Amino acid sequence: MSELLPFIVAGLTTGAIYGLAGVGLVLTYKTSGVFNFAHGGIATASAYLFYELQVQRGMPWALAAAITILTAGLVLGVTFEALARAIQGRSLAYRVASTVGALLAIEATVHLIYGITEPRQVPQFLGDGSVTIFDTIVQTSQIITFVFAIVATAALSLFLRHSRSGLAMRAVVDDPDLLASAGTDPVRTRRLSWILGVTFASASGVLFSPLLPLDPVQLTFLVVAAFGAAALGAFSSLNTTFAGGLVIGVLASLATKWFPDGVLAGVSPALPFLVLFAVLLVFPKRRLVGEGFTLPSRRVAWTAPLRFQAANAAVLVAVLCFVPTFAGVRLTAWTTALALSIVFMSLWLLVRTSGQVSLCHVAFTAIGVCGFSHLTDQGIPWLPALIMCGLIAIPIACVLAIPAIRLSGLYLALATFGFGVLLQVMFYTQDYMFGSNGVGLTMPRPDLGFVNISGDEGFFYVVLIAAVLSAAFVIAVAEGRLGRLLRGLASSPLALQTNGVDTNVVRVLVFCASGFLAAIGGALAGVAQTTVSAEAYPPLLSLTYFVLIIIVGGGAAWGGVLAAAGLILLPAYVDGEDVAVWLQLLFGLAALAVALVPDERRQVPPHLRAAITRLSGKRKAHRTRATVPTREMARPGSLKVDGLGVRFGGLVAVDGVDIVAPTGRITGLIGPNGAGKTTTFNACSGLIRPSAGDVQFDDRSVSRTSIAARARHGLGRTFQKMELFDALSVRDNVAIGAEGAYAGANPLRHLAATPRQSAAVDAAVDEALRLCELESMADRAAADLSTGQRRLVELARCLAGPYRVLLLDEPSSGLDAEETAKFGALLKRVVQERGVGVLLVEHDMSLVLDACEHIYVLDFGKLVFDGTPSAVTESSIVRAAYLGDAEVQREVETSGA
Amino acid sequence: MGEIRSRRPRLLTLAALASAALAIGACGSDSEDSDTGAQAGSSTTATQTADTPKGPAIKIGTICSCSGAQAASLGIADDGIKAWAKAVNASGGINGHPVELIAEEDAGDPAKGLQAAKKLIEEDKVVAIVSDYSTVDGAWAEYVESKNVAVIGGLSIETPFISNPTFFAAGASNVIEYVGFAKVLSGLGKKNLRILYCAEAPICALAPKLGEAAAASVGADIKISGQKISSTAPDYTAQCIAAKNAKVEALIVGANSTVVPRVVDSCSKQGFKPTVVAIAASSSPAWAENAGFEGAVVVGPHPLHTDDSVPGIKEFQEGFDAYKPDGREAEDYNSNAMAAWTAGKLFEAAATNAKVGPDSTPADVKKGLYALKGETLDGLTAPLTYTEGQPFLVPCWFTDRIEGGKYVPANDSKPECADEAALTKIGGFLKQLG
Repeated sequence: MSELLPFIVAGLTTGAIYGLAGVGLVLTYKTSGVFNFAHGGIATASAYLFYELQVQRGMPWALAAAITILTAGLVLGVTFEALARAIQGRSLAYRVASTVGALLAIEATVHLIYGITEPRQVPQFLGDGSVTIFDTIVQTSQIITFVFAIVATAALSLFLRHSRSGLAMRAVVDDPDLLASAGTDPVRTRRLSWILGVTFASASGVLFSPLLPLDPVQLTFLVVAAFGAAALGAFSSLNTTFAGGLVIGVLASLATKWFPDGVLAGVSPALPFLVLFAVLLVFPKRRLVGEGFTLPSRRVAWTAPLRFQAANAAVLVAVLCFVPTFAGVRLTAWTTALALSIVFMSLWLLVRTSGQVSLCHVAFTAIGVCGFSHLTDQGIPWLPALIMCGLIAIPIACVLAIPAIRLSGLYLALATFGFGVLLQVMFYTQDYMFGSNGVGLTMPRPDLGFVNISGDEGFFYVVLIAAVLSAAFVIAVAEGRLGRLLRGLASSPLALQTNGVDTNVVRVLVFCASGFLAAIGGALAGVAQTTVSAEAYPPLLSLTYFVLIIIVGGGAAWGGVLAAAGLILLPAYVDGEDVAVWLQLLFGLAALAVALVPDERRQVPPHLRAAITRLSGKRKAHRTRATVPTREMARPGSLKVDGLGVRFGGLVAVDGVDIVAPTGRITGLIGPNGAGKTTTFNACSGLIRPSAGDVQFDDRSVSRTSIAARARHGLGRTFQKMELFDALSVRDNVAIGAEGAYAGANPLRHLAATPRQSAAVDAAVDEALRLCELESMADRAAADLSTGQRRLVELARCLAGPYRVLLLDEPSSGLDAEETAKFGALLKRVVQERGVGVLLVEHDMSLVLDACEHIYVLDFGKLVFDGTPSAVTESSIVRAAYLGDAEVQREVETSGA
Repeated sequence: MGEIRSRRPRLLTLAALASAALAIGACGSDSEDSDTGAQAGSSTTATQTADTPKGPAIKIGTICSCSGAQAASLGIADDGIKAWAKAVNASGGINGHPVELIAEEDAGDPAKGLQAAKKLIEEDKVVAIVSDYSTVDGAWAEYVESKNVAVIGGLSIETPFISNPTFFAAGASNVIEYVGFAKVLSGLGKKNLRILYCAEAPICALAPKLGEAAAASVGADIKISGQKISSTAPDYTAQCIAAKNAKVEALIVGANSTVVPRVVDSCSKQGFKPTVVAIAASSSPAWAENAGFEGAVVVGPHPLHTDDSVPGIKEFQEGFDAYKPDGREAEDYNSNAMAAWTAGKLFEAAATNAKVGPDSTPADVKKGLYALKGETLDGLTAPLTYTEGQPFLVPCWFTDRIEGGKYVPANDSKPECADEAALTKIGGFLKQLG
C-alpha cells in the first residue's frame, strides 16, 4: 500500500480538478440540454486571465483567483446561457457546432493575445510546504486543491438539495413549463445554473494553471478529461461525476506505475477517454439522460437543378485542369486541397445528409495514410493499396457506429471525439500506425511508366480524377435510395423504422462509406506531401473539419470543395504568421453564427432559388402515369392483440386489452384522452415493449420483432404527433413508404434500387398521391404544408407501402369537416379496392361511426366495450367512459372485475 | 580535425530522429496551427540599414517551425538568423553585396515545409537555405537535393544533416550528443540513468536504446532505463517516485524545455534530486535559477552562448543585442538563437570563399562550403570540413554545467570528440536497432 500511496495522492489531486470540471459540465448539461464542448475553453480563458492578473499585473493570488472565477462565472455564464437558449430547437449537429465553434474561437483568441512562443508559467500559489503521510511526501498545494474541490462540490450539492433556487434548478430539468406556471422563471433558473457550471470550469482552469505552462490546447485537453468523469456520472449525477473524476485521476496515476511501457503506457493519458468510450458502449441506455434533447433537422433541403450543378462542375473542372499552369509552388497545396475535398465530402454525407456527428474524421485520414504507407511498403501496388487503406477504415467505422446505433445524437459526438483522442494517445505510436522508427511515413507516388504521374503536376491530375469520381459517387448516393434513406434518418429515424427500414443498417452503412472515403482522401493528401508524420493528425483538427462542414453549403460535392479550399488554399495564398489562427477564429465564429440561425431559415433564399431554376431551364417534370396499375388485393390476415399490458413504472397504461384488426375491415379504437390508445398502437408497432400479453400478425407472434420488421410484415402506421421527413419533398416522403420495404434489412439493397424497383416505387407513389389528392404539391417540402395536408402526406406514405394493416392515429386531426368526410370515403375505398385492414384511433365520432365496421372502446387502459358502431352508440358504458357517468362507471368496474 | 562521414546514414538517420524529438520536444503539444491544418508561409526580408551596401542583394532563405508545436524552444531561432542578416548588412554585406533574407514558416507541417522550400528556390531564386529550423525538413530534403541547393546550419539534430549531402551541419548531431552524455556521466561516476521520453511522438521511444548504444560505444558502465511521459500530464510525481525507487542517479527528460522543469520540480518535491542531463537545443537559461537543476549537464553542438571569452560568441552577443535589445533577457531566449546565427556565419564564410554575388548560383555556394577546411567560425563550433557528395557528421560536442545557479562552460568552451572506435561501435548498435 505504501508503494501505491504516492500515486494515489497525486491522482486524487488531479482527479479532484477533473471532478470539479465535470460537475460544472453536468450541471449545465442537465439544466439546459446543451453539452458544452467549450468547457475546456472556459478553463483555458480563466487560466490565462488568472495569469494576466497574478503574474503580469502582480495581483495577490487570492484576489486574482476571485476576480477570475467570478468574472468568468458571471460573464461567460450569462453568455453561454444566452447561447444555449438561442440554439434551443436547433438540430443536434448545429448545437454541437455552436459550442465547438465557441471552443475554437476562445482558443484562437487566447493564441492571438498571448502567442505561443513565450513560455508562460503560473507559479504554485497554494504554497510550497509539504507534510509526510505514511512516508509519503504530500504537498500542501495538493491537500488544498483536494479539499477545495470536495467542499465546492459538497456545497453545490447542498445548495441544489436544500435551497429554493437549487430546487428550481432541479425542477427545470423535468418540466420548465410547470416551473414557469409556479411563478419561477426557467430562464433565470438556467442562467444561475450556467453561472455555477462555468464558475466550476473556471475554478478548474485556475487550479490547473500552476501545474503546467499555459497552452490553450493542453489546458483544453485536461478539462476535456472531465468528459470521462461526466460519463461515469451518467451525465446526470453531480456527486457520482465528482467521484468519477477522482477514480479517473487515481487510476490514471496508478497506470503510470503499472504500465510504464508498450502500448499500455498510453493508458494513463487515455484513461478519461477510455472511460468515456466504454461508458457509451456498455452503459444501459436508460441510464444516460438527454436522448430527448436530440431534435431532428427541420431544414428543408434544396439542391440546385442537376443541369445547373453539372454546368458549374464542368467549369470548375476545366479551371482546375489549368491549375498546374499558374499554381507554381502552391501546386502541392492545390493537390492537398483536392484530396481533402474527398474527406469533406465523406463528412458531408455523414453530418449534413444523415444528421450524424463525427468528431474524429482526422482519425480516418490518419488510418488512411498509415494503411497506405504500410501496404505499399509490403509491395502492394499503388491503386490496390489505396483502395485497401479505405477498406481498413471500414471495420473501424463499424465499431464507431455502435454508439450511433445504441445512443445516437450527442453521445455519438462524444464517442467519436473520445475515439479520436484515444487513437492518438494509444495507437499513433505503434508500428502499425506512424511507427516507432521515427522517419515518418513515406507516401509513394503512382508510376505508370508511359505517362508521368509521379511528379507534382501529374499527381495533381490523378487526385483531380479521384476527386471527380468521389463527387460523382457522393452525388449518386445522395440522389439514390441510400441518399433518401439518409435524409430520412436525419429527419425522423422513427418514421424510417415504421416504414420498414432498419436504421441501424443505414447508420452502419453511412459510417462505413464515410470512413472509406475519408481514409482514401487522407491517403491521397498524404501522397501529395510525399512524407507524413503523426503531428499533422491532431485529434482537435477534427473539430475544425466538423465546423467547416457545418459552415459551408452547396451539397456534398460543392461543400467538400469549399471546405477544403477554406482550410488549405486560403492560408496557402495569404501570408502572415498567424493566418492559421485567424482562420480558426473565423471558422469558430462562423460556426457559432450559422448555429444561431434557425434550421428552417438556413436555406437558399427563394429569389436565388428561382433565379437558379430559371437559369437552368425547365426542370424535367416528373412523368405521372396516366393509368396506375391496380394493386393486387392484400393477402388476408389480421393483427391480434392478446391480453396486452403496458406499465410505465408504477403506472398501468394498458391492462389486458384484446383487439383484432383483420384485413378488409376498418376497425375503430376509441376512448377518452389517456385511455391508452396510442400506447396500444406503440406496442403493436414495437415502439414499446409490453409488460404482458402478445401481439400477433397473421397468427404469428411479433412481440419480439423489431419495428422495421413488423413494418415489413405489413404493419403500417401514422402518428398522432406526425412523424414526417420534413426536410424531404412530399414525393420523397411518400416514396420512402414504398422504398422502405425494398431496402429491408439487407445492406446491399439500401444502396440503390433496381430499375424494376424504381418503377414499382414510382407507380406506388403516383397512386398514393392521386388517392390523397396530393399531386399538385408533390414537389413541395413537407415542412411547408398545413397540418391537414401533412396528415394526408403521412397517410399517402402509408398507402404507398406494401402494408396490409394500417394503424392510423387520429388521422383527421387538422382536417375540416369536408376534408374529414373525403378522408372517410378514401379509407373505405382503399379497404374495398386493396383489401387492407385499418385500425383507426380517432376522436371524430362521425368519422368513426361512418367508416368503422367494428369498434373497440378503451378507458383507463382497459377494454370496456367492443361492437358495431350502432352498439357503441347505444352503450351506456361508452357514454360513461366519455361523459364520466358515475353510475355506469361502477357498472364498468363491476364488469371489469 | 577531419570530417567523419556516416557509413550508415539510414541507421544514423533513425537515431538522429529519435534524439531530435527528445531534444526539441517533438513530444510537445499539438499547436494551434497544426489543429487547423492550415498552411501559412510568411516571408520577411531583413531590415536594411544605412550601412547596407547598395545594389542587388544575395538572396538566401530560411525555414523555421517557429510557430508550431515547438515554438517555445525554436521560436528564437528566427531572431538569431535575422540578427545575423542585420549584422552582416550593417558591416558591409558579403563581398560588397547586401544580403536579403527571406524567412519562411512551416509551423511543423510537412506540406507547408515543402511549399516553403519550393517558394524559396523556384520563386525567390535563393542561392542557399540558411538556418534550417524546420522540424519537418525530411519532407523537403529530397526536393532541395534535387535542386542542388545547400541547406546550411540550423537544428543540427535534424535527420537530413547526417543523411543528405546537400545539408551542411554546423554542429554535432544528437547521436553524438548522446555519446557525449555517456562520457560525461561516466566521468561523474553516475551508473544509473533513466530517460523519460515523450508519449506524443513515436520516435521518442527509441531514446533508451540510443542511450544504451551511446554508452556501449564509449565503454561506459551505465544502466539505462526508459519510461514514457505525457507532456500534458499535470504532475510527474509517479514517474519521480518510480525513478527514486529504482535508485536512478541521472535523468534525461525527452520533452520540450517547458516540461523538463516540471518533471524536475515534481522530483524535488519527492526529495529526489538526480543529475539532470539535457541537450542544448532543449535547455533554457531559466533552468539555472531552479535548485533542482544544480549540477545539471548540458551537451550541445556549440559552446555556451554566454561565454563571451570566445570571439565568435562575443560577436554574436553584440549582433543580437543590436537586433533585439534585451532580447537575451527574454523568457523565450535560448541557445537556438546562437545556433541560427552560427548558420549565418557559416554561409558568410562559404560565400566569402566563393566570392558569391547576386548573380551566383547555388552551386557556387556549395563550392565555397567545400573550400572550408577545419572552420570553427571563431570558436562558434567544432572544426568543419565538408566533402562533396557525402553527408557530414560532426563528431564533436561541447559540454556545459549548471553550478551555483548559473551555466558554466566545461573544457574552456572547447569541443570534445568521439574517436573512430566509438563511432564504429555506435554504428554497430544502431544497425541492431534496424
